[in-house]
Parts: sequence; C-alpha cells; structure tokens
Amino acid sequence: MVRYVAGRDIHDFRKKMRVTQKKLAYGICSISTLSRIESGEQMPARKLAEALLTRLGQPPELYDLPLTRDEYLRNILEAKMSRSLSLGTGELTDLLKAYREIPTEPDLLEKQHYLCLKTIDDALHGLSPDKAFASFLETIRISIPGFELTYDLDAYLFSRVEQLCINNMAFSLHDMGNIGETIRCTEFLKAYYERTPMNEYEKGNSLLRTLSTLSDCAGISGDIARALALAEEGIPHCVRYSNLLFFYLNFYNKGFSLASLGRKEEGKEYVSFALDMLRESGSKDLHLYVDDANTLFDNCFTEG
Amino acid sequence: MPAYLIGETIREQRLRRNISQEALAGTSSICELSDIENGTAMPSRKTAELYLSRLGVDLSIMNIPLTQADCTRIHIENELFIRINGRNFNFGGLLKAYREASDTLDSLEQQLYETMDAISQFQNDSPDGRQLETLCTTFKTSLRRSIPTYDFTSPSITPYLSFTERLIVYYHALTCYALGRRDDAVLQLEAIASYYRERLSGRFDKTTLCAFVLQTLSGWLLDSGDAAAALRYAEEGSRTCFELDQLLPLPPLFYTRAASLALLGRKDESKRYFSLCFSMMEVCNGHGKTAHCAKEAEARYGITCSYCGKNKTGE
Repeated sequence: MVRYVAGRDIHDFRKKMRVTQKKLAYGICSISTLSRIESGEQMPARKLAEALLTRLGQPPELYDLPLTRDEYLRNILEAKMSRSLSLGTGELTDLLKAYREIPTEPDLLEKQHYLCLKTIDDALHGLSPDKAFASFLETIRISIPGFELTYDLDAYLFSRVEQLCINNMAFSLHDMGNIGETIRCTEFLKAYYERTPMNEYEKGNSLLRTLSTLSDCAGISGDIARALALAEEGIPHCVRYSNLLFFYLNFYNKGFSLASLGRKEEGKEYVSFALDMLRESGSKDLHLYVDDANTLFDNCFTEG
Repeated sequence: MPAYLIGETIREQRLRRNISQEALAGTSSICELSDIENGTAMPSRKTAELYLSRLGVDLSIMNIPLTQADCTRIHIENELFIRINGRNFNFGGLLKAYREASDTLDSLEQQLYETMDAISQFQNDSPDGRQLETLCTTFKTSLRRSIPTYDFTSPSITPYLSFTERLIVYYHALTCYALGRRDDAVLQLEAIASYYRERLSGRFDKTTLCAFVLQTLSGWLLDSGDAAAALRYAEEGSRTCFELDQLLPLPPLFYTRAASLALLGRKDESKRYFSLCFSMMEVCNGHGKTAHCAKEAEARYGITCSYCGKNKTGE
C-alpha cells in the first residue's frame, strides 16, 4: 500500500506545537480527513497541504504530491506572485491574469488565494479601503467561517493566505485613517508570530513586516518613542535574514523618530541614507518618502 | 486528470528555453534524460533537482515519490542554504543528521554533503596551505560527480549548472584565490558571473549566490588594480542586491564601488557610496570594524565621509 510522507510531517509538526486535530483542520477539512492524511493513507490536495503546513508555521514543502499540470502552473504562479508582492515589481496584475486563464476550475482554497491577491492588486489600483477591507474579510471566511477581528490569540491557527488577509486588513484600516485599529490588528499578528513556534525564516520575514507597519502607525499616532523602539527592533532582524528593503525603511522610521524627538542632525543622516537607498533601488514611491521627509526637514531633500 | 509527471515538467521547461537534451544533460547520460522526459524512468529526488535547477526552475514542486529520509534531507538542505545566505557557516549537527537520515547517500547527495562539509571547513577553520589544497581538490572531485569533464583551467562554462554546481565552482575559485592562483580564480568567477547574466537573466531565476559572486569578483579586481572592471561588477552586484532584496552582500559591494570611483577620480560619487557602505556596516559589522574601514578609505583613497553612527560616543 502506498503511504504518503507529507502527512507524516504534518503529524509531527502538529504534535510539536501541541495543537489538536480539530483546531488545525478548522474550516478546511474534516477531522477524519486530517487523520487519514496524517497516517499517510490519503494524499491532501495541493492547497490543503499548503494550508495545513503553513497553519503550523512551516513552509509548504509539497514535493511528493501528484499534481496535475494546471495545479503545477498555479503553484509556479503563486510563488511568482508572492515574490512580486514582496519586491513591489508591479507584475501582479499580469500574473493574476495568467492565473485566471488556467482552464481547470480552481478549488476553494485556490479561489481564496486568488481573491486575496486580486484584492491587494485592486487596492493598489484605487479600490477604496473600506471595500478592500470587506473583501479581505469575505476571503478569509472562505476557510474560517464566521471570522471576525476579535484579536483572540487562542481561537485559530492561520495559514499563510489567512495571515496575508489579516495583514492587508490592517493596511486597509490604515488607509481608512483608523490608526488605533491598525495598531491593534498588527499587534495581534506580531503576538501571533512571536508565540507560534514557526520555521525561523518564515517567522523572521513576517515579523519584519509587522514591526515596520507598527512603527509607521506609532509615528502617525504621536508615540514617537515607541516608533523609534520598533524601528530599532526591526534592524537586527534585517541583518539576520539579509533583508534589504525593510533595512532602509527601518532607517527611515528611525531617522524620522529621532528628528521628532529633537535629535534632528542625527535623524537627518538616517533619513538621508534611506532616501539614497530608495533612489538606488529605483523605487516608484521615492517621491512619497521625499515629500514626507521634507515636511520635517525644511524641504532639504530632492528626488534627483 | 492524470498527474503532471516530473518528466513532462522538465521537457516543457527545457523546450521553453530552447535547450537541447545534450546541453541539459551535459556529460551525464542523454538516454537517462530521455527516459525521464518520456516518463519511462522516475528520477531520484536529487536528479530531478539537478535538471530543474540547471533550468533555473523553482524547486518546490517535484511530483516524485519520496521517502521519509528524502523529506528529512530536504529540510536540512533548505536550512543549510538559509545559513549560507545569512553568512552563518556553523552547520552544527545538520551534516551529521543529513548523513544519518538513511543508510546511504546517492551520488548527488554525496556531492552536496561533501561540498557543505568543505565549505564549513573553509569558512570556519582558517585552513593552511596544505589544507587549502585538499579542499580545492574536494571541490573539484565533487563537481566531477555530476560533470565529469568540467574544465577548471579554461572555464568557458558550456554546461548548464545546477545550484549546487554553481556553489561548488564559486568555492573552488575562493580556494584557488586563497592559494595565490589569483588570475585563475578571477577567470572562474567571471565565467559564473556571465552564466548568471546570460542564462539566468529572469527576475525569478537568480539566486542570492549571484550577489556574492559579483561581490567577491569586484573585490578581487579592485585588489588587482583594475578599477574600471571592479566598478562594472560592483554596479551589477548592487543592482542584483536590490533586485533580490539582499542586504548582506551590499556593504562590501558599495565599498568596492566607492573605492573604484575614487581611483577613477570621481570623488563625489565615491564619497556617496562610502557613506552608504559605512551606514550599513555600522549595523552589520559593528562600530569598531566600520571605524577601521572608514580610516582605511581616508588613508588609501583620500575620501572622508559622514555616515549614520559615525559620531556615536560609547553607546
């Protein structure tokens, strides 16, 4: 009899995290299905394996799943989309189109992944933040029925896509001007990442994103000391995971905070470094950062 | 619907890139590759990885039956590559666990194992001349497990190289350089750099090793006094770091870039890159090392610059 090894990993990681089958399977498969997957009798569908593994804080290693050609193509596109998203390469719209054009009917979790990324792309192209927020909420409810942002750390485990939805709900709240709620939402994610025994690399990158958002929000809401502390907390993580983008964004926040606390000369060096780096990277958002910096530093920065 | 077999994946990706079976298989058996593509033979985990990574394809899906030992080794390999990217060469018990995951290592697993072992010795043990010779030979024989005819002396890089193979060529060049065969080492790295430029030009094909290759190469060219070439590689390397979102290779790349600019008489630009370099080093390498390098820049290139953290007083 064939036994599939993917289930063994899921079983081991679940035991290590001391999570019940009920909690892990919530909303995505029945307990008896999870049992069969764990014992190797049943092969999980591609996105189900991914959701189970990422809910356990592990990267989705899907090596021995017998995939169809369309599933294989979707998998490649999903990897490209997440890279495009983290590097801001502006290719998301085209990748989503290619994803849509794959003929086989997507399963529910593939639809969820698509909707999440589609909403992110729409939000980048002018969808109003309250509509985006509602769309992310609907999307997350595909796999977690009745989900609300109640910030209960013990209620659910979140897959990578579910985390992405929550993270983007925080961004929508930010764009609606609701800074208090953005902070609550992001603090919730930060606490979730810190207490979940995740794969270290996954954890590092997720933490960096939440620290950076929190530092932004703390600055906007006037808690400058906290904004500074959060930016400084992020920097060693960047060195550890060799993350360049958040490195200079943290420098930007650090400089901004230092200047707001009266250490203007020192702060200016950090902001000036960050702007130089944004220029080097060819970022399309450079002018936004320059404009922002000029409000604090008497128009001394230019885009050129 | 039938599963999409690994062989079809390999064939489709190969044809999309217009690569012949001969070129992809290199000196290993073309019959074997044909059989895999036709679905009459199932490749081992590492053989599938070899072909896919030579094609620059994402490796996370393979469609092949795995054993528990394969899974264990996949996790360990991922961890090893993450450590190399983070410049952490303390592989701890990982190699032992890798070996012990099953009774045997196949030839490609053996290649990975001995490469990683040699890398850790090279980086951690400050090897002397005799030990360096041994490591150099290890890298050479290790590469020849998968490419029996690879020519290190005139590396025109005709064969396609997997990620592990590129890593071996890189470290082979590093040991050659440490042994004083500098021109040789530069040639070998230039071959790898052009491999990245020409064969893996897609945004999603490159791996972080590319940035380290360019960093090393530009540093060597600077040392040999060829400022123009050093600058070219440093610029390419910095672009790669932004493209791949890689922090760690960037400070040394900016250093080389600034130093080459200074030698070429472009003082203002030089000052700018020294300043960016030291702002990053201050965090990545600490205040002492940064202050030391800043002094060196002043003495050697006549450039004085300010940077984040320069004036900090015993924090």
